[in-house]
Amino acid sequence: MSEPLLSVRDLKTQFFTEDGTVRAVDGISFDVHEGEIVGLVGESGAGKSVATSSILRLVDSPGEIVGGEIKFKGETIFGLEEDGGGELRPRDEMLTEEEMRKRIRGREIAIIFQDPMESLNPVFTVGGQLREFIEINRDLGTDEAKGEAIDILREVGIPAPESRYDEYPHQFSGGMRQRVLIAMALACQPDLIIADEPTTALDVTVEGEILEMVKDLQEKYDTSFIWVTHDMSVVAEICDRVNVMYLGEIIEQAEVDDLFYDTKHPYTSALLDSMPRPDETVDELRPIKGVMPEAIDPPSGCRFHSPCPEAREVCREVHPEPREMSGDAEGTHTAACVKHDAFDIGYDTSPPIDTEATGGFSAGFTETGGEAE
Amino acid sequence: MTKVGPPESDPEALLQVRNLKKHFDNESGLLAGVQLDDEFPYVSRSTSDVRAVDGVDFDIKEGETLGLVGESGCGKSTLARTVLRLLEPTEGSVYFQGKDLASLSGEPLRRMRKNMQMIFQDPQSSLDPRMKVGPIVEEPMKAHGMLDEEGREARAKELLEKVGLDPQHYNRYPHAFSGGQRQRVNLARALSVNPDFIVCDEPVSALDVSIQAQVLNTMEELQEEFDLTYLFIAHDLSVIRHISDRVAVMYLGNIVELADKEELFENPQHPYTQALLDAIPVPDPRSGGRTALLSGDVPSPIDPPSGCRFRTRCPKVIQPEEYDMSDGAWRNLVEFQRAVERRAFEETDPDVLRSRYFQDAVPSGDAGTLLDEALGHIERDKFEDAERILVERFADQSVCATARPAYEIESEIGDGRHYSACHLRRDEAVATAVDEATVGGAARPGTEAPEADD
Repeated sequence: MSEPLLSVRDLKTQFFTEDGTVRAVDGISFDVHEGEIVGLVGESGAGKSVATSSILRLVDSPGEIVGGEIKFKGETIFGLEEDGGGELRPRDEMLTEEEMRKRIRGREIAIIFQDPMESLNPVFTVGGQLREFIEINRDLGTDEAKGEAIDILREVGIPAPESRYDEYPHQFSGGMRQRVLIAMALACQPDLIIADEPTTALDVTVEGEILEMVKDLQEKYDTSFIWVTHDMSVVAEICDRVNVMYLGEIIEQAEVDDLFYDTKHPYTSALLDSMPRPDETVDELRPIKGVMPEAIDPPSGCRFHSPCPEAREVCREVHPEPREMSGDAEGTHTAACVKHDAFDIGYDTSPPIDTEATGGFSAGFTETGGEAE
Repeated sequence: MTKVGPPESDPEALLQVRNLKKHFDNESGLLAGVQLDDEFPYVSRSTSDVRAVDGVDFDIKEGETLGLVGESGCGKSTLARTVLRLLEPTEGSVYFQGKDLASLSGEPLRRMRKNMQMIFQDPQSSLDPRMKVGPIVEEPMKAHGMLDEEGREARAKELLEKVGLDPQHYNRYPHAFSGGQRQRVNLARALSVNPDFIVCDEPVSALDVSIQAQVLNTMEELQEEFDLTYLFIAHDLSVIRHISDRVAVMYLGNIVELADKEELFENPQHPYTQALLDAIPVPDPRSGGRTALLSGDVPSPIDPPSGCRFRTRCPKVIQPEEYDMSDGAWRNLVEFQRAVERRAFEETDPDVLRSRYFQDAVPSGDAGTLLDEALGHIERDKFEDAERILVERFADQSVCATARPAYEIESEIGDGRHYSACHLRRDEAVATAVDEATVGGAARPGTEAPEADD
């Protein structure tokens, strides 16, 4: 396989709070190749958004990227090395804050956020904001940039773009605002677009239209995407490869077809089983028992062991790193679950444990959270 | 509109909604709607209403779940609030256990409210952050003077356990709970006064899928145990399919289709329902994705389209009777008309436009002449004139624009009633009416022809 466009290795991002260190992203690795749509799936709190912010180095205090390496087109977005005294310091070739701001963000890597209302400034016209963005990033004159802005608005399907150019964000519907953001992301023809739940707030009909449009545009410009979502249906529709996140870790990584038809990790199966289906009537849903633990104090061993229906004694003790499942060296399907032969640490002989999934009264409660005063 | 009489006595129906309307003033205040003109009388005043709910009829039987589904902005939540009389209806009636809520007021209404509860979408903002969950659950009982203090506390704890929370959590504040747990507190609060009917306004859409499933299962168990009737509002068709017995599909203030769940999902008879169903993503990479997507935005409820409200986006608009185009030519013409309305192209050369929009079929005869005229206007860059011709001579002439559809047809699956507001069904309809009788009440076959709306 060719050199990946973006490569993330063992990325760790932590938040230092009064209550302790939140390990929001805890050692994830994945690649994005040219022209590929890579999914990043997980529930709220899994660390998806922190992971994408880290790629753009947008993590703010009290958060900090504490380890790992991010490479984009041969350049180092983030990397640490040890200096003489054993202290970690940024490597020399790491891009400076200014280079990130002027060259990478927006131009090479664009990002689309979930809430289009919050990403657009309500006191400026939609066209003006788009024009300014193009003017600054592509060194075009005002009139030229305006023409470009109108063209790109038409391309993302805004009706009557000349007249809508002078309207304000509140005059656009949610779907159209999201189209404007996509227009803005595409305006500089970046190599990579990070889409952070861009369709979650939209109706299915609008979502369908936008996904359809993204697919067309992706074909036309050959842009790569990181598509962050919690919705398995969107993943099935748009992604080429998928990373499933649970509590700061990637627990399964596969081609989209393998993920749905040859699921290796119990969490992925549970996630798929808990969804109501639109195409058939399901009598009883099988929800995941309990809620995701806090990243501030992750469980020992496999982080999913307590809600896991297949958990055994060994799951509580051994923390699995993702390993290759398919057996060939290419590395196309990895999972972090010790029940598979690739681990061979005695899962089969280990006794099953009592988990929330296998019984126990308090299924479905967290014991965390503030105590009553 | 026909006058609304007393409902047919359907002993099973817990709730009967008849021709319910809720309009909002678009502007308010002293100078609302005042417009200045150049000519006498210089100042005029006209107000425009937002017709959020515009003539809705349905019944809910005791113990069933009616799912109400539609895109954002179609009036689902307004309908729910108007049914409970949290909003004053502009017109129409809501009969709950035989009594018209719209005519009640004061103490009788307050006492009725004990039987009707509501669960809101946002579990965060619907709980008072400064109250502990125990008192939150007790509050409705206090308001309705149920039990004494000790009895209330005991009942609150019992209810917390019923909804799947630990009774020990009685003394905790809402912030100590996760989203799913907060929605359970909401459930407990709604159940505290022992209601018959609960309106659930998107109760699970703010929750993660895995938590969603837990809450949905709990709601089903509670329904069985307490014999509850739900009006369940959601925009997610998968959730609706899971929990409902019957489903109503809403579009721009109207119900466009209402049928038993299986019938609606397997045999949808309104193009809007079909489009919605086609638009749901299936969690399966081999399903081939969604098909037949709708184009365009939902029109404004201030000035909704005449006749069938879906006609401006409908892929199956019926050809006006005065023309005799082939089906392909008519579809091309509709597509072209919508493209002109949206100003989707800049091209003005008629030949290029012809080859882009009318490659496989061109309208002939009168329609062809009108199309030539419209293309001529476009060539002179007069899009407004072209649009006027296309809209007035074609779109506005269709039966979809001139009459408001309301038909009842045979169900293919099960023996429930199937209402579809689409003129395509006019030949197979067993009952036709524009008044309140069609949707949920007894059928009156052939009593009324569809009325012209304008």
